[in-house]
Amino acid sequence: MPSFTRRLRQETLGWVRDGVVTAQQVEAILARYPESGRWFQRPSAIFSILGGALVVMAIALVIAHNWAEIPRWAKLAGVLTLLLGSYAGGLFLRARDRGLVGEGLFVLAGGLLLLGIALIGQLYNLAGRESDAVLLWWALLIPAAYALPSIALIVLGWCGASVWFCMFVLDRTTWLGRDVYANATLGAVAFGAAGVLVWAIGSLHGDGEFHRARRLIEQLGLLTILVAMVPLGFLKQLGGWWIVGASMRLPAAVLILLALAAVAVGVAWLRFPPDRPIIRAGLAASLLLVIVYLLVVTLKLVQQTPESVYHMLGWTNWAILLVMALALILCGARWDRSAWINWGVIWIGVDAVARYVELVGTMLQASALFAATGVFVLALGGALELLRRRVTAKVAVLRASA
Amino acid sequence: MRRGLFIAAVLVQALVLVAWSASLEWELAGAERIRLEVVQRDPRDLLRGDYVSLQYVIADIPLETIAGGRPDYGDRVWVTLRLQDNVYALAAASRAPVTPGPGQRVIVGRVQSLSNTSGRPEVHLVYGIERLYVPEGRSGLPRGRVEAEIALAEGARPFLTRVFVDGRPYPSKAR
Repeated sequence: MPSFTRRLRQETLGWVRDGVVTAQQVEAILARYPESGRWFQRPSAIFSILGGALVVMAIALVIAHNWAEIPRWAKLAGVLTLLLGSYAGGLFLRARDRGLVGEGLFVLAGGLLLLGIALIGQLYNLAGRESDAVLLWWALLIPAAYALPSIALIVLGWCGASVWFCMFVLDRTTWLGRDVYANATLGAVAFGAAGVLVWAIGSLHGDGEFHRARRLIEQLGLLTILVAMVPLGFLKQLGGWWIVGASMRLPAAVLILLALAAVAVGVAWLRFPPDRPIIRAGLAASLLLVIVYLLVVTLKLVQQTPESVYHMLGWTNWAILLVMALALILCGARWDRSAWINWGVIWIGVDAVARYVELVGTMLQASALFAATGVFVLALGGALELLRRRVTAKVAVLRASA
Repeated sequence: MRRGLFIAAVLVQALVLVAWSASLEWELAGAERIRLEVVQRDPRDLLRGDYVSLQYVIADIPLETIAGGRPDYGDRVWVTLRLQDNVYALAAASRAPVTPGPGQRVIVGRVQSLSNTSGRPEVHLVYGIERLYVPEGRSGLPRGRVEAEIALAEGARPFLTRVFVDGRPYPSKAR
Protein backbone atom coordinates (compact mmCIF):
# COMPACT_ATOMS: atom_id res chain seq x y z
CA MET A 1 0.00 0.00 0.00
CA PRO A 2 1.55 3.31 -1.04
CA SER A 3 2.54 5.69 1.72
CA PHE A 4 0.49 8.79 2.44
CA THR A 5 3.12 11.03 0.85
CA ARG A 6 3.25 8.98 -2.31
CA ARG A 7 -0.53 9.00 -2.64
CA LEU A 8 -0.59 12.71 -1.97
CA ARG A 9 1.96 13.28 -4.73
CA GLN A 10 -0.18 11.27 -7.16
CA GLU A 11 -3.43 13.02 -6.19
CA THR A 12 -1.99 16.54 -6.37
CA LEU A 13 -1.18 16.04 -10.06
CA GLY A 14 -4.93 15.86 -10.68
CA TRP A 15 -5.57 18.87 -8.42
CA VAL A 16 -3.19 21.04 -10.43
CA ARG A 17 -4.69 19.81 -13.69
CA ASP A 18 -8.21 20.63 -12.42
CA GLY A 19 -7.11 24.04 -11.18
CA VAL A 20 -7.86 23.29 -7.52
CA VAL A 21 -4.39 24.36 -6.39
CA THR A 22 -1.32 25.85 -8.09
CA ALA A 23 1.95 24.01 -8.59
CA GLN A 24 3.65 26.21 -5.95
CA GLN A 25 0.96 25.36 -3.42
CA VAL A 26 1.45 21.67 -4.16
CA GLU A 27 5.18 21.98 -3.41
CA ALA A 28 4.38 23.69 -0.12
CA ILE A 29 1.92 20.93 0.84
CA LEU A 30 4.36 18.15 -0.06
CA ALA A 31 7.13 19.82 1.93
CA ARG A 32 5.01 19.40 5.08
CA TYR A 33 4.90 15.61 4.60
CA PRO A 34 8.36 14.40 3.67
CA GLU A 35 8.68 10.77 2.60
CA SER A 36 9.78 8.98 5.73
CA GLY A 37 9.62 5.38 4.60
CA ARG A 38 7.88 2.57 6.46
CA TRP A 39 9.06 2.28 9.98
CA PHE A 40 10.49 -1.16 9.53
CA GLN A 41 12.58 -0.08 6.57
CA ARG A 42 14.68 2.07 8.85
CA PRO A 43 17.61 0.15 10.33
CA SER A 44 17.35 2.05 13.61
CA ALA A 45 13.82 0.75 14.25
CA ILE A 46 14.68 -2.88 13.61
CA PHE A 47 17.96 -2.79 15.48
CA SER A 48 16.54 -0.97 18.48
CA ILE A 49 13.75 -3.54 18.88
CA LEU A 50 16.18 -6.43 18.41
CA GLY A 51 18.73 -4.86 20.70
CA GLY A 52 16.12 -4.34 23.41
CA ALA A 53 15.04 -7.96 23.16
CA LEU A 54 18.63 -9.23 23.35
CA VAL A 55 19.37 -7.14 26.44
CA VAL A 56 16.22 -8.53 28.08
CA MET A 57 17.44 -12.06 27.38
CA ALA A 58 20.85 -11.21 28.82
CA ILE A 59 19.28 -9.92 32.04
CA ALA A 60 17.02 -12.98 32.15
CA LEU A 61 20.09 -15.21 32.14
CA VAL A 62 21.68 -13.22 34.95
CA ILE A 63 18.52 -13.69 36.98
CA ALA A 64 18.40 -17.37 36.04
CA HIS A 65 21.95 -17.85 37.28
CA ASN A 66 20.44 -17.10 40.69
CA TRP A 67 23.35 -15.54 42.53
CA ALA A 68 22.84 -16.63 46.12
CA GLU A 69 25.35 -14.02 47.36
CA ILE A 70 23.13 -11.10 46.32
CA PRO A 71 20.36 -10.34 48.83
CA ARG A 72 16.74 -10.49 47.69
CA TRP A 73 16.09 -6.80 48.04
CA ALA A 74 19.21 -5.96 45.99
CA LYS A 75 18.08 -8.17 43.11
CA LEU A 76 14.64 -6.63 43.10
CA ALA A 77 16.03 -3.10 43.37
CA GLY A 78 18.33 -3.80 40.44
CA VAL A 79 15.50 -4.95 38.19
CA LEU A 80 13.30 -2.02 39.25
CA THR A 81 16.08 0.46 38.52
CA LEU A 82 16.58 -0.99 35.06
CA LEU A 83 12.81 -1.02 34.48
CA LEU A 84 12.26 2.62 35.43
CA GLY A 85 15.47 3.67 33.69
CA SER A 86 14.38 2.03 30.44
CA TYR A 87 11.02 3.76 30.51
CA ALA A 88 12.68 7.09 31.30
CA GLY A 89 15.19 6.58 28.50
CA GLY A 90 12.43 5.78 26.06
CA LEU A 91 10.52 8.93 27.04
CA PHE A 92 13.67 11.02 26.74
CA LEU A 93 14.44 9.77 23.24
CA ARG A 94 10.83 10.21 22.21
CA ALA A 95 10.90 13.85 23.34
CA ARG A 96 14.01 14.37 21.18
CA ASP A 97 12.34 13.03 18.05
CA ARG A 98 14.11 9.66 18.29
CA GLY A 99 10.87 7.81 18.86
CA LEU A 100 11.81 4.67 16.95
CA VAL A 101 14.93 4.09 19.03
CA GLY A 102 12.87 4.87 22.12
CA GLU A 103 10.53 2.03 21.16
CA GLY A 104 13.44 -0.35 21.65
CA LEU A 105 13.85 0.88 25.22
CA PHE A 106 10.13 0.43 25.79
CA VAL A 107 10.43 -3.20 24.61
CA LEU A 108 13.30 -3.60 27.07
CA ALA A 109 11.18 -2.15 29.86
CA GLY A 110 8.25 -4.40 28.98
CA GLY A 111 10.53 -7.42 29.08
CA LEU A 112 12.00 -6.28 32.40
CA LEU A 113 8.52 -6.17 33.90
CA LEU A 114 8.09 -9.85 33.04
CA LEU A 115 11.54 -10.59 34.46
CA GLY A 116 10.58 -8.75 37.64
CA ILE A 117 7.56 -10.99 38.04
CA ALA A 118 9.69 -14.08 37.32
CA LEU A 119 12.30 -12.85 39.81
CA ILE A 120 9.74 -12.62 42.62
CA GLY A 121 8.65 -16.16 41.75
CA GLN A 122 12.26 -17.30 42.01
CA LEU A 123 13.02 -15.40 45.24
CA TYR A 124 10.03 -16.85 47.09
CA ASN A 125 9.96 -20.29 45.39
CA LEU A 126 6.46 -19.66 44.05
CA ALA A 127 5.09 -22.53 41.96
CA GLY A 128 1.56 -21.42 41.18
CA ARG A 129 -0.10 -21.24 37.77
CA GLU A 130 2.31 -19.74 35.27
CA SER A 131 -0.60 -18.30 33.34
CA ASP A 132 -1.30 -16.05 36.35
CA ALA A 133 2.17 -14.53 36.05
CA VAL A 134 1.66 -13.83 32.34
CA LEU A 135 -1.78 -12.35 33.10
CA LEU A 136 -0.26 -9.97 35.63
CA TRP A 137 2.37 -9.01 33.09
CA TRP A 138 0.14 -8.01 30.24
CA ALA A 139 -2.52 -6.52 32.53
CA LEU A 140 0.13 -4.07 33.83
CA LEU A 141 1.70 -3.50 30.42
CA ILE A 142 -1.38 -2.66 28.36
CA PRO A 143 -2.46 0.52 30.25
CA ALA A 144 1.05 1.99 29.93
CA ALA A 145 1.13 1.01 26.25
CA TYR A 146 -2.10 2.82 25.43
CA ALA A 147 -1.42 5.81 27.67
CA LEU A 148 1.59 6.95 25.65
CA PRO A 149 0.82 5.35 23.08
CA SER A 150 3.65 3.03 22.12
CA ILE A 151 3.00 0.64 19.24
CA ALA A 152 5.85 -1.64 20.36
CA LEU A 153 4.39 -1.96 23.86
CA ILE A 154 0.89 -2.48 22.47
CA VAL A 155 2.16 -5.33 20.28
CA LEU A 156 4.11 -6.79 23.23
CA GLY A 157 1.07 -6.52 25.48
CA TRP A 158 -1.21 -8.23 23.00
CA CYS A 159 1.37 -10.97 22.38
CA GLY A 160 1.38 -11.49 26.14
CA ALA A 161 -2.42 -11.63 26.19
CA SER A 162 -2.38 -14.24 23.40
CA VAL A 163 0.17 -16.40 25.20
CA TRP A 164 -1.82 -16.04 28.42
CA PHE A 165 -5.05 -17.14 26.72
CA CYS A 166 -3.37 -20.24 25.23
CA MET A 167 -1.96 -21.16 28.65
CA PHE A 168 -5.32 -20.45 30.30
CA VAL A 169 -7.23 -22.70 27.90
CA LEU A 170 -4.69 -25.54 28.11
CA ASP A 171 -4.51 -25.53 31.93
CA ARG A 172 -7.25 -27.82 33.16
CA THR A 173 -7.22 -26.24 36.62
CA THR A 174 -8.68 -22.98 35.28
CA TRP A 175 -12.41 -22.46 34.87
CA LEU A 176 -12.09 -22.41 31.07
CA GLY A 177 -9.49 -25.16 30.90
CA ARG A 178 -11.78 -27.40 32.91
CA ASP A 179 -14.50 -27.14 30.23
CA VAL A 180 -12.00 -27.75 27.43
CA TYR A 181 -10.49 -30.73 29.22
CA ALA A 182 -13.95 -32.32 29.37
CA ASN A 183 -14.15 -32.20 25.54
CA ALA A 184 -11.30 -31.12 23.27
CA THR A 185 -13.69 -29.69 20.65
CA LEU A 186 -14.54 -26.95 23.11
CA GLY A 187 -10.95 -25.79 22.80
CA ALA A 188 -11.58 -24.89 19.17
CA VAL A 189 -14.86 -23.23 20.19
CA ALA A 190 -13.04 -21.19 22.87
CA PHE A 191 -10.40 -20.05 20.39
CA GLY A 192 -13.07 -19.18 17.83
CA ALA A 193 -14.93 -17.05 20.37
CA ALA A 194 -11.69 -15.43 21.49
CA GLY A 195 -10.83 -14.66 17.86
CA VAL A 196 -14.13 -12.83 17.35
CA LEU A 197 -13.64 -10.97 20.65
CA VAL A 198 -10.12 -9.91 19.71
CA TRP A 199 -11.20 -8.81 16.22
CA ALA A 200 -13.99 -6.72 17.74
CA ILE A 201 -11.60 -5.15 20.25
CA GLY A 202 -9.25 -4.37 17.39
CA SER A 203 -12.04 -2.74 15.44
CA LEU A 204 -12.83 -0.49 18.40
CA HIS A 205 -9.42 1.18 17.97
CA GLY A 206 -10.79 3.08 15.00
CA ASP A 207 -8.84 4.98 12.34
CA GLY A 208 -7.24 7.61 14.55
CA GLU A 209 -3.90 7.40 16.36
CA PHE A 210 -4.41 3.71 17.11
CA HIS A 211 -5.02 2.65 13.50
CA ARG A 212 -1.82 0.60 13.41
CA ALA A 213 -2.86 -1.22 16.57
CA ARG A 214 -6.29 -1.77 15.02
CA ARG A 215 -4.75 -3.43 11.96
CA LEU A 216 -2.54 -5.73 14.02
CA ILE A 217 -5.18 -6.77 16.54
CA GLU A 218 -7.85 -7.31 13.86
CA GLN A 219 -5.46 -9.58 11.99
CA LEU A 220 -4.68 -11.50 15.18
CA GLY A 221 -8.42 -12.01 15.63
CA LEU A 222 -8.94 -13.14 12.03
CA LEU A 223 -6.06 -15.61 12.25
CA THR A 224 -7.44 -17.04 15.50
CA ILE A 225 -10.94 -17.45 14.03
CA LEU A 226 -9.51 -19.26 11.01
CA VAL A 227 -7.34 -21.56 13.14
CA ALA A 228 -10.39 -22.46 15.22
CA MET A 229 -12.94 -22.86 12.42
CA VAL A 230 -10.90 -25.11 10.11
CA PRO A 231 -10.63 -28.09 12.52
CA LEU A 232 -14.30 -27.67 13.46
CA GLY A 233 -15.09 -28.36 9.82
CA PHE A 234 -13.64 -31.85 10.32
CA LEU A 235 -15.88 -32.81 13.25
CA LYS A 236 -17.35 -35.77 11.42
CA GLN A 237 -14.03 -37.10 10.17
CA LEU A 238 -12.19 -36.87 13.49
CA GLY A 239 -14.39 -39.50 15.01
CA GLY A 240 -15.91 -40.30 18.36
CA TRP A 241 -12.99 -39.38 20.60
CA TRP A 242 -13.16 -35.81 19.32
CA ILE A 243 -16.86 -35.48 19.81
CA VAL A 244 -17.67 -37.47 22.89
CA GLY A 245 -15.95 -36.61 26.11
CA ALA A 246 -16.76 -37.48 29.69
CA SER A 247 -20.34 -36.87 30.81
CA MET A 248 -20.83 -33.31 29.69
CA ARG A 249 -22.09 -30.64 31.99
CA LEU A 250 -22.93 -27.23 30.61
CA PRO A 251 -19.60 -25.51 29.80
CA ALA A 252 -20.38 -22.22 31.54
CA ALA A 253 -16.97 -20.70 30.87
CA VAL A 254 -17.24 -21.29 27.12
CA LEU A 255 -20.76 -19.87 27.04
CA ILE A 256 -19.63 -16.74 28.89
CA LEU A 257 -16.82 -16.30 26.38
CA LEU A 258 -19.29 -16.60 23.51
CA ALA A 259 -21.56 -14.03 25.15
CA LEU A 260 -18.64 -11.62 25.60
CA ALA A 261 -17.70 -12.01 21.96
CA ALA A 262 -21.29 -11.31 20.87
CA VAL A 263 -21.45 -8.16 23.00
CA ALA A 264 -18.07 -7.03 21.66
CA VAL A 265 -19.32 -7.38 18.07
CA GLY A 266 -22.36 -5.27 18.96
CA VAL A 267 -20.16 -2.54 20.40
CA ALA A 268 -17.63 -2.72 17.55
CA TRP A 269 -20.45 -2.23 15.04
CA LEU A 270 -20.80 1.32 16.40
CA ARG A 271 -17.17 2.04 15.38
CA PHE A 272 -17.39 0.74 11.82
CA PRO A 273 -16.64 3.40 9.21
CA PRO A 274 -19.68 5.41 8.05
CA ASP A 275 -21.54 3.59 5.29
CA ARG A 276 -24.98 2.32 4.38
CA PRO A 277 -26.61 0.61 7.39
CA ILE A 278 -27.06 -2.65 5.50
CA ILE A 279 -23.32 -2.90 4.78
CA ARG A 280 -22.37 -2.25 8.40
CA ALA A 281 -25.03 -4.64 9.67
CA GLY A 282 -23.96 -7.27 7.15
CA LEU A 283 -20.42 -7.45 8.50
CA ALA A 284 -21.63 -7.56 12.10
CA ALA A 285 -24.15 -10.24 11.17
CA SER A 286 -21.47 -12.42 9.57
CA LEU A 287 -19.45 -12.30 12.80
CA LEU A 288 -22.52 -13.05 14.87
CA LEU A 289 -23.12 -15.99 12.55
CA VAL A 290 -19.76 -17.38 13.64
CA ILE A 291 -20.81 -16.97 17.28
CA VAL A 292 -24.14 -18.70 16.68
CA TYR A 293 -22.39 -21.56 14.91
CA LEU A 294 -19.97 -21.99 17.82
CA LEU A 295 -22.89 -21.92 20.25
CA VAL A 296 -24.72 -24.62 18.31
CA VAL A 297 -21.58 -26.80 18.26
CA THR A 298 -21.26 -26.36 22.04
CA LEU A 299 -24.88 -27.25 22.74
CA LYS A 300 -24.75 -30.28 20.42
CA LEU A 301 -21.66 -31.52 22.24
CA VAL A 302 -23.43 -31.22 25.59
CA GLN A 303 -26.45 -33.08 24.25
CA GLN A 304 -24.14 -35.69 22.64
CA THR A 305 -26.23 -35.84 19.48
CA PRO A 306 -25.60 -38.45 16.73
CA GLU A 307 -22.67 -38.06 14.35
CA SER A 308 -25.01 -37.17 11.46
CA VAL A 309 -25.60 -33.79 13.11
CA TYR A 310 -21.86 -33.09 12.94
CA HIS A 311 -21.93 -33.83 9.23
CA MET A 312 -24.47 -31.03 8.87
CA LEU A 313 -22.38 -28.76 11.07
CA GLY A 314 -19.40 -29.45 8.81
CA TRP A 315 -21.33 -28.11 5.81
CA THR A 316 -22.43 -25.11 7.86
CA ASN A 317 -18.82 -24.45 8.80
CA TRP A 318 -17.81 -24.32 5.15
CA ALA A 319 -20.67 -21.96 4.29
CA ILE A 320 -19.96 -19.63 7.21
CA LEU A 321 -16.26 -19.41 6.34
CA LEU A 322 -17.20 -18.44 2.80
CA VAL A 323 -19.81 -15.87 3.90
CA MET A 324 -17.39 -14.34 6.40
CA ALA A 325 -14.60 -14.21 3.80
CA LEU A 326 -16.86 -12.47 1.29
CA ALA A 327 -18.02 -9.98 3.91
CA LEU A 328 -14.39 -9.18 4.73
CA ILE A 329 -13.48 -8.70 1.07
CA LEU A 330 -16.49 -6.50 0.31
CA CYS A 331 -16.17 -4.34 3.40
CA GLY A 332 -12.41 -4.21 3.03
CA ALA A 333 -12.81 -2.85 -0.50
CA ARG A 334 -15.40 -0.26 0.58
CA TRP A 335 -13.53 0.92 3.69
CA ASP A 336 -9.99 0.76 2.30
CA ARG A 337 -8.88 -2.02 4.66
CA SER A 338 -6.54 -4.07 2.50
CA ALA A 339 -5.72 -6.49 5.34
CA TRP A 340 -9.34 -7.63 5.39
CA ILE A 341 -9.25 -8.30 1.66
CA ASN A 342 -6.04 -10.31 2.05
CA TRP A 343 -7.49 -12.35 4.91
CA GLY A 344 -10.74 -12.90 3.03
CA VAL A 345 -8.78 -14.37 0.14
CA ILE A 346 -6.72 -16.50 2.54
CA TRP A 347 -9.89 -17.79 4.20
CA ILE A 348 -11.37 -18.83 0.85
CA GLY A 349 -8.10 -20.53 -0.09
CA VAL A 350 -7.79 -22.40 3.22
CA ASP A 351 -11.46 -23.37 3.08
CA ALA A 352 -11.00 -24.72 -0.43
CA VAL A 353 -7.97 -26.79 0.60
CA ALA A 354 -9.79 -28.09 3.67
CA ARG A 355 -12.78 -29.17 1.62
CA TYR A 356 -10.47 -30.78 -0.95
CA VAL A 357 -8.82 -32.76 1.85
CA GLU A 358 -12.21 -33.64 3.26
CA LEU A 359 -13.43 -34.70 -0.22
CA VAL A 360 -17.08 -33.88 0.22
CA GLY A 361 -19.10 -36.79 -1.16
CA THR A 362 -17.53 -38.46 -4.23
CA MET A 363 -14.76 -36.89 -6.31
CA LEU A 364 -17.31 -35.87 -8.92
CA GLN A 365 -19.46 -34.19 -6.29
CA ALA A 366 -16.42 -32.39 -4.89
CA SER A 367 -15.50 -31.33 -8.43
CA ALA A 368 -18.98 -29.85 -8.92
CA LEU A 369 -18.63 -28.01 -5.63
CA PHE A 370 -15.26 -26.52 -6.60
CA ALA A 371 -16.52 -25.58 -10.06
CA ALA A 372 -19.56 -23.82 -8.63
CA THR A 373 -17.47 -21.98 -6.05
CA GLY A 374 -14.84 -21.04 -8.63
CA VAL A 375 -17.47 -19.59 -10.98
CA PHE A 376 -19.01 -17.68 -8.10
CA VAL A 377 -15.66 -16.20 -7.06
CA LEU A 378 -14.86 -15.22 -10.66
CA ALA A 379 -18.26 -13.56 -10.93
CA LEU A 380 -17.59 -11.77 -7.65
CA GLY A 381 -14.27 -10.49 -8.98
CA GLY A 382 -16.05 -9.18 -12.07
CA ALA A 383 -18.70 -7.49 -9.95
CA LEU A 384 -16.03 -5.80 -7.81
CA GLU A 385 -14.27 -4.53 -10.94
CA LEU A 386 -17.57 -3.12 -12.27
CA LEU A 387 -18.16 -1.43 -8.90
CA ARG A 388 -14.69 0.10 -8.99
CA ARG A 389 -15.19 1.44 -12.52
CA ARG A 390 -18.58 2.88 -11.60
CA VAL A 391 -17.13 4.69 -8.58
CA THR A 392 -14.19 6.01 -10.62
CA ALA A 393 -16.52 7.21 -13.39
CA LYS A 394 -18.75 8.98 -10.86
CA VAL A 395 -15.73 10.81 -9.44
CA ALA A 396 -14.61 11.84 -12.94
CA VAL A 397 -18.10 13.21 -13.70
CA LEU A 398 -18.06 15.21 -10.47
CA ARG A 399 -14.68 16.68 -11.39
CA ALA A 400 -15.80 17.60 -14.87
CA SER A 401 -18.99 19.34 -13.64
CA ALA A 402 -16.97 21.28 -11.02
CA MET B 1 -1.73 14.64 30.00
CA ARG B 2 -0.82 11.50 28.02
CA ARG B 3 2.71 11.62 29.36
CA GLY B 4 1.33 11.94 32.86
CA LEU B 5 -0.91 8.91 32.35
CA PHE B 6 2.01 6.90 31.00
CA ILE B 7 4.21 7.81 33.97
CA ALA B 8 1.39 6.87 36.33
CA ALA B 9 1.00 3.48 34.57
CA VAL B 10 4.75 2.84 34.82
CA LEU B 11 4.75 3.74 38.53
CA VAL B 12 1.87 1.30 39.05
CA GLN B 13 4.02 -1.46 37.50
CA ALA B 14 6.91 -0.70 39.87
CA LEU B 15 4.56 -0.39 42.86
CA VAL B 16 2.93 -3.74 42.08
CA LEU B 17 6.32 -5.48 42.08
CA VAL B 18 7.39 -3.76 45.31
CA ALA B 19 4.04 -4.29 47.05
CA TRP B 20 3.90 -7.95 46.00
CA SER B 21 7.40 -8.60 47.32
CA ALA B 22 6.64 -6.68 50.51
CA SER B 23 3.41 -8.63 51.09
CA LEU B 24 5.23 -11.92 50.61
CA GLU B 25 7.93 -10.83 53.08
CA TRP B 26 5.21 -9.79 55.54
CA GLU B 27 3.41 -13.14 55.22
CA LEU B 28 6.65 -15.09 55.62
CA ALA B 29 7.68 -13.05 58.66
CA GLY B 30 4.54 -14.02 60.58
CA ALA B 31 4.18 -17.56 59.22
CA GLU B 32 4.65 -20.69 61.28
CA ARG B 33 7.21 -23.20 60.00
CA ILE B 34 6.41 -26.90 59.58
CA ARG B 35 8.17 -29.75 57.83
CA LEU B 36 6.79 -32.04 55.17
CA GLU B 37 8.30 -35.22 53.81
CA VAL B 38 9.35 -35.18 50.15
CA VAL B 39 9.06 -38.45 48.21
CA GLN B 40 10.12 -37.57 44.69
CA ARG B 41 12.36 -35.01 43.12
CA ASP B 42 13.21 -34.47 39.47
CA PRO B 43 15.82 -31.86 38.84
CA ARG B 44 15.11 -29.72 35.79
CA ASP B 45 16.86 -26.90 34.01
CA LEU B 46 15.02 -23.93 32.56
CA LEU B 47 16.13 -20.71 30.95
CA ARG B 48 14.91 -18.69 33.87
CA GLY B 49 16.79 -20.63 36.48
CA ASP B 50 17.69 -24.03 37.72
CA TYR B 51 15.15 -25.47 40.06
CA VAL B 52 14.40 -28.72 41.78
CA SER B 53 10.92 -30.14 41.35
CA LEU B 54 9.47 -31.54 44.56
CA GLN B 55 6.57 -33.82 45.19
CA TYR B 56 5.08 -34.34 48.61
CA VAL B 57 3.61 -37.30 50.44
CA ILE B 58 0.50 -35.20 51.08
CA ALA B 59 0.09 -34.46 47.36
CA ASP B 60 -1.78 -37.70 46.62
CA ILE B 61 -4.93 -38.09 48.68
CA PRO B 62 -7.51 -40.90 48.48
CA LEU B 63 -10.79 -39.54 47.16
CA GLU B 64 -12.79 -41.02 50.04
CA THR B 65 -10.72 -38.96 52.48
CA ILE B 66 -12.04 -35.67 51.08
CA ALA B 67 -15.14 -34.43 52.88
CA GLY B 68 -17.65 -32.52 50.77
CA GLY B 69 -17.79 -34.75 47.72
CA ARG B 70 -15.63 -35.24 44.65
CA PRO B 71 -13.67 -32.11 43.73
CA ASP B 72 -13.17 -30.89 40.17
CA TYR B 73 -9.95 -29.81 38.44
CA GLY B 74 -8.71 -26.56 39.90
CA ASP B 75 -10.88 -26.75 43.04
CA ARG B 76 -9.26 -25.89 46.32
CA VAL B 77 -8.91 -28.53 49.01
CA TRP B 78 -8.08 -27.80 52.65
CA VAL B 79 -5.78 -30.49 54.04
CA THR B 80 -5.50 -30.97 57.81
CA LEU B 81 -2.05 -32.10 59.00
CA ARG B 82 -0.85 -33.63 62.26
CA LEU B 83 2.67 -34.14 63.54
CA GLN B 84 4.02 -37.62 62.96
CA ASP B 85 7.72 -38.54 63.32
CA ASN B 86 8.85 -34.89 63.25
CA VAL B 87 7.03 -34.11 60.01
CA TYR B 88 3.42 -33.21 59.34
CA ALA B 89 1.31 -35.86 57.65
CA LEU B 90 -2.21 -36.10 56.29
CA ALA B 91 -4.99 -36.26 58.89
CA ALA B 92 -8.05 -35.20 56.91
CA ALA B 93 -9.11 -33.21 53.84
CA SER B 94 -12.11 -31.09 52.99
CA ARG B 95 -13.51 -29.03 50.12
CA ALA B 96 -14.43 -26.29 52.60
CA PRO B 97 -12.18 -24.31 54.94
CA VAL B 98 -11.63 -26.06 58.27
CA THR B 99 -10.37 -25.02 61.69
CA PRO B 100 -7.45 -27.16 62.87
CA GLY B 101 -7.63 -28.98 66.17
CA PRO B 102 -4.94 -28.86 68.89
CA GLY B 103 -1.54 -29.71 67.42
CA GLN B 104 -2.94 -29.71 63.88
CA ARG B 105 -2.21 -27.42 60.93
CA VAL B 106 -4.12 -26.70 57.74
CA ILE B 107 -2.64 -26.24 54.26
CA VAL B 108 -4.60 -25.39 51.12
CA GLY B 109 -3.94 -27.01 47.74
CA ARG B 110 -5.53 -27.15 44.32
CA VAL B 111 -6.68 -30.26 42.42
CA GLN B 112 -4.42 -30.93 39.46
CA SER B 113 -5.53 -34.41 38.47
CA LEU B 114 -7.77 -37.30 39.38
CA SER B 115 -6.51 -40.84 38.98
CA ASN B 116 -7.38 -44.42 39.73
CA THR B 117 -4.26 -46.02 41.20
CA SER B 118 -4.62 -49.79 41.77
CA GLY B 119 -8.40 -49.44 41.70
CA ARG B 120 -8.40 -46.68 44.36
CA PRO B 121 -9.49 -43.23 43.20
CA GLU B 122 -6.98 -40.55 44.15
CA VAL B 123 -6.69 -36.82 43.88
CA HIS B 124 -3.36 -35.16 43.13
CA LEU B 125 -3.01 -31.75 44.75
CA VAL B 126 -0.53 -28.96 44.09
CA TYR B 127 0.24 -26.47 46.83
CA GLY B 128 2.43 -23.96 44.98
CA ILE B 129 5.51 -25.23 46.82
CA GLU B 130 6.72 -27.74 44.26
CA ARG B 131 9.78 -25.78 43.09
CA LEU B 132 13.00 -24.88 44.86
CA TYR B 133 15.06 -22.41 42.84
CA VAL B 134 18.78 -23.01 43.26
CA PRO B 135 21.92 -21.32 41.97
CA GLU B 136 23.06 -22.43 38.54
CA GLY B 137 24.52 -25.91 38.54
CA ARG B 138 23.19 -26.82 41.98
CA SER B 139 20.04 -28.68 40.90
CA GLY B 140 20.01 -32.40 41.68
CA LEU B 141 19.25 -33.37 45.23
CA PRO B 142 21.74 -35.76 46.84
CA ARG B 143 20.50 -39.09 48.14
CA GLY B 144 18.92 -39.15 51.57
CA ARG B 145 15.76 -38.31 53.46
CA VAL B 146 14.37 -35.08 52.04
CA GLU B 147 12.19 -32.74 54.04
CA ALA B 148 10.83 -29.33 53.08
CA GLU B 149 10.37 -26.46 55.49
CA ILE B 150 7.07 -24.74 54.74
CA ALA B 151 5.87 -21.43 56.09
CA LEU B 152 2.12 -21.45 56.60
CA ALA B 153 0.78 -17.94 56.15
CA GLU B 154 -2.67 -16.49 56.69
CA GLY B 155 -5.43 -18.52 55.06
CA ALA B 156 -3.38 -21.75 55.14
CA ARG B 157 -1.31 -20.55 52.19
CA PRO B 158 2.07 -22.34 52.11
CA PHE B 159 5.49 -20.99 51.10
CA LEU B 160 8.56 -23.14 50.52
CA THR B 161 11.46 -21.69 52.49
CA ARG B 162 14.10 -24.42 52.73
CA VAL B 163 14.80 -28.03 51.87
CA PHE B 164 16.76 -30.43 54.09
CA VAL B 165 18.54 -33.61 53.04
CA ASP B 166 19.31 -35.87 56.00
CA GLY B 167 18.80 -32.88 58.29
CA ARG B 168 21.21 -30.60 56.41
CA PRO B 169 19.93 -27.56 54.44
CA TYR B 170 20.12 -27.81 50.64
CA PRO B 171 21.79 -26.10 48.89
CA SER B 172 24.43 -25.93 51.57
CA LYS B 173 24.65 -22.09 51.58
CA ALA B 174 21.21 -21.02 52.93
CA ARG B 175 19.46 -18.04 51.30
